[in-house]
Amino acid sequence: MLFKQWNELVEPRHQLDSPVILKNEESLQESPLPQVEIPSTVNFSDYKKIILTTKVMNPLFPKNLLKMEDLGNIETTLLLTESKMTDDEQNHYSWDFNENFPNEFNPSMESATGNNNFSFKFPIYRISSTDTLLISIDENFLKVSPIFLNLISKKLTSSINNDKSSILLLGASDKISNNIKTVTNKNCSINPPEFITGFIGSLLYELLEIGTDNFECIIVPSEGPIGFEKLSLSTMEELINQFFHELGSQMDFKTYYDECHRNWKLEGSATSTQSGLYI
Amino acid sequence: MSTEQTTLLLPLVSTGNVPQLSVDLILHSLSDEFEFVKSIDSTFLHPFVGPLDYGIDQTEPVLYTQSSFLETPSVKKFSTALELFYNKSKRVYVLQQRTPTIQGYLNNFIKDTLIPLIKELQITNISVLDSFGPLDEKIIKRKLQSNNHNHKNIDPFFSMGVCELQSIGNLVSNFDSTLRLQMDPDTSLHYTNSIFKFTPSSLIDEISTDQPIFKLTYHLLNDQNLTNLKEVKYCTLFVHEGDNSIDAKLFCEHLPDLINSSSDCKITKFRTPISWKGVYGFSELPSTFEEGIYI
Repeated sequence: MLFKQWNELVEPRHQLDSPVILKNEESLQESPLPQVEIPSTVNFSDYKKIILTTKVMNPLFPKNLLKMEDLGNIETTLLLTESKMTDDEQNHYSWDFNENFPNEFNPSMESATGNNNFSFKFPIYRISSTDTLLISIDENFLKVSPIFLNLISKKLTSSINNDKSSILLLGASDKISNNIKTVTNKNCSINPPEFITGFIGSLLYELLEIGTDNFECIIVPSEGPIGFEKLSLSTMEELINQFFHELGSQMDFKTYYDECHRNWKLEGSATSTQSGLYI
Repeated sequence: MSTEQTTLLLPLVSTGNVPQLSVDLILHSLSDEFEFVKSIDSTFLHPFVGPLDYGIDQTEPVLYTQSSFLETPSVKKFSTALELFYNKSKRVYVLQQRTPTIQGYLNNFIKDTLIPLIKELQITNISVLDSFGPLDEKIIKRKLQSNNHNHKNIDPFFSMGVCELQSIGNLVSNFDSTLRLQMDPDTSLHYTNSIFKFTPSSLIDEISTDQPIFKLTYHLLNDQNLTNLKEVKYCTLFVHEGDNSIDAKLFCEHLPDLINSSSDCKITKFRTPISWKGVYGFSELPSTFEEGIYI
């Protein structure tokens, strides 16, 4: 997919694109919160390292090469009741559509069922060779509302905070300058006006609130909005080098290197993969 | 109950981010008076973690390093989406909101985050900062249609309305009738001109029910436990999106109106934060361009 960051209709700067949860802008009711379930079979303190990241980094963790084992899913669901829909949608027809057209598809039902419930699953993997747990969230500013990210972060940080595991956050941001930044509780290497947002920002906020110093956060520069980030070749090289050591060097470096590059290109996350003289 | 007045300045995330920029200017221009109090839960806001901001002529983030609220100020390294600051001499709290509320969760944010904070701090006066622009058609269109104003005495930018809660009991019990909602046939939105009493020079004289200020005031009026609250002031500025630092400066010139302070609280020297560098600023236009560039 070729993603264009700009469009012809100018959106006001203070409005961020995100999925619409509540359609009735005049509502005075509180919206329900998504429920987050983490499989009870996963015991976080069994692992030496827990890596929390986002989809753009998946190519760094080739499943076959690392012999990753699926441990289940983090599941999050938001159920919205009918009353949360707009009056306009509920009373779109002044007569009963199904009664008049029993065999036809009711277009108002589609929007109701299509948008009424939100459900997402994010897998948890174990990288057995290094005693590492990997959780990667598929964040996407068009589909996943930040409320899900905030609540997953809240639940995850309270579950994984223990003395035995060290936490590594790995994310990409177009709000930082062209260097890889390492952030810990004691060292903030980002300078105004740089900042971190998205799932990694949300996790970092929760970890700082808890006050744990058992974490490290790596943020790499990227281009593009949340869920559609593109990384430069030099950033990829640095990440591959760092994570080859991180993930244990039982692999052949060349094989790992080629596999990571191949995956990034396949996912269209490399800035060089779509350079043509066309729009 | 304390008879002294405690004010909370509350910026809404609105056109050109002018209220947030104004809060930045207030905090950094008066950084010797304000101090960081605490970070407020930001579950309902877009995620944000950033470094500590400081004035462009300062070498350290004094708002944080000189805070008496922090046990060990040197440990504080990060700023978050929602932070509270306090000016002891003027008894003014300022909330800085760095990211928008998540779509669909504004009511949750008001009821679960703001109102408990207002209770905890025993706030008597709230001043809400807002802005609107040419793209806010709902507001602009109604303004163009109404001919009730004597246009000579209207401030083209600044509007201020006050909601006095002295008779809060009456207001709550008669809420529906007091509201006198009117519906705009074009947009099917409802408007009210009875919650806020706008000054005669205000550009606007009503608010619509989809505006954050309506939701905020509604929840404040309907919360029986906010016994200390005496007044909600609503100030809004008409702006065009762009480098809005001048709009923020204009807003800050109304600071004495916003905080009702008897002590002098005019900002004499504006200090911009380092995070504005390269983005916003007060630099003069080069004289060679003073007539503009036209094609």
